[in-house]
Amino acid sequence: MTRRRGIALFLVLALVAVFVPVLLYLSQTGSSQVRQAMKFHEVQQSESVALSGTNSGLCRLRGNLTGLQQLSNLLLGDTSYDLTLKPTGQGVVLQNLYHLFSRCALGRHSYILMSDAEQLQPDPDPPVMVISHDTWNTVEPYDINLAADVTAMENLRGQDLLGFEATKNYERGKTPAQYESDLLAKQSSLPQELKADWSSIAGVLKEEKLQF
Amino acid sequence: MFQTSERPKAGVTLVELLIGTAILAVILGIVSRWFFMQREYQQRLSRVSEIQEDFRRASWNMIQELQMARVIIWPRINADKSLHSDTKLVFKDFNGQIISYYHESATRQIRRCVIPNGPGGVVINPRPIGEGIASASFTASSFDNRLISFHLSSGGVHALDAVYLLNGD
Repeated sequence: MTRRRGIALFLVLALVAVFVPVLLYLSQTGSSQVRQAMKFHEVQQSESVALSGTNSGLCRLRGNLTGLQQLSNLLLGDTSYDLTLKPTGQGVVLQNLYHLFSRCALGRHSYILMSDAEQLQPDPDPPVMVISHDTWNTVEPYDINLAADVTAMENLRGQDLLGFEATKNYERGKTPAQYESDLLAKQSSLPQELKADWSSIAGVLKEEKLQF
Repeated sequence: MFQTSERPKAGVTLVELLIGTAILAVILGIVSRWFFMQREYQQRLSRVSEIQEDFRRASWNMIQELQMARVIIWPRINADKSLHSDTKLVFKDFNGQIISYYHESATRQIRRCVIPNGPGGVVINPRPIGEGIASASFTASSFDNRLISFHLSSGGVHALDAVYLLNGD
């Protein structure tokens, strides 16, 4: 009888020895999945809130918000974000230049997005136009210390405006027929996906060609 | 004068062994089913997250340029005021250049090309602005051609976003 009890005890211990590590492993796997899900959730949410924060900041600028602002603990749903509006000077037409920082931190994930914004003065009604420039064009988190040089950003804006002048002059210098013909000449080098509708697209561009 | 032996038998009987094995099999079945369900769930979660990541990257790339653009050229609201969707988008950017985003279904990518509004040839960006996207459609949403919405989908996951162009002609 004692021997039989010994075998039963041995079997029970063996079962426990097998199942405890298996259950431990499974529980760890389960909890790591939950952690992973939380991580994805935090990354996604902090990024999207920071992005929305940037758009909200630009809207605020459109709404004539001016000056140095530290707009902290703003809420998007239950998630808070911070905006920092840092004036960087004035442009050639006396427009105000800003760096707009939008920051959202959730758990161990923190996203800070920077946008370069200009606010044209004087304040008209409806609100002023705001131009933002995505200097880094990135969704990666970054260190503010790595901010590109302000002068370089202003030069970028200058390049943009010069480029716009060049395209405007080109359009004005062509007759509608010439302009359309130039556009249609580019059809052969277009990607396949654009070729089919290109003549209609060129038609719209011709209709809206800048005149004198 | 027989004497029967009362000594207990050593070991386990076949029935006991079968019952033990059956219990073990049931427990292992339940645990393994739970385990595989978890694994499948994890894979699905990772897949959805990756798709959403692709969507956000593509949306970000497009929104950053589009909100600075000047006017949408294609698609436009139809003459009968019905909505017009297309797999390609053509607009004038801040510099007045003609830019197009188009979906390549074979590579599941959104590509960008610049059609110079002036002399010069068409330049197709070497890198796509969106990857892992099964379908993309752009819909004209306003009569002033400054509001465009886009719908991305892949693997049963959908994303819908809209951009208002800040700059006029």
